[in-house]
Amino acid sequence: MDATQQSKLLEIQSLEFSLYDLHLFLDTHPYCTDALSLYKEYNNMLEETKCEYERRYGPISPGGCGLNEKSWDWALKPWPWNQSQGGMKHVDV
Amino acid sequence: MADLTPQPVCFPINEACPQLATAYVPIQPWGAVFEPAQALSKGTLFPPLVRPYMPMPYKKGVEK
Repeated sequence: MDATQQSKLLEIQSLEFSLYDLHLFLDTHPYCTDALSLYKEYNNMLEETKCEYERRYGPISPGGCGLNEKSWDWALKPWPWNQSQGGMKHVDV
Repeated sequence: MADLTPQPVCFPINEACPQLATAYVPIQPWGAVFEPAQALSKGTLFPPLVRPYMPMPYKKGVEK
């Protein structure tokens, strides 16, 4: 996995973490508009970043932006946890 | 019939009868937050909730 890919993954992880912390805050402050707007902002950023990543490196989860009309990329591209091993595939095509 | 008037519960210790503890957690106010990358490394999005959890310094004469 090259440095660009790694930093994209870290960006996704950071956004997911921040969204989860905001989720916890919002559970006790459901009318806090500051938290709500930041949640929305990060959620959009996460969507974008994930799509960008999936288009370039393959799916993080079975669905999402990586969906291809001609092939089921989840089975063909390396799984997220295989990336560091140089991208193993689990089926021969 | 049982007496249902609210009464402090206490736990008798010797002569005294101290009341049970009551936990109180203040509501967290909204404020400035970390950038996502920093939040991930700090373990929280919220600066007032940062707890470094430094390792305990080794004490002489204390078994591990």
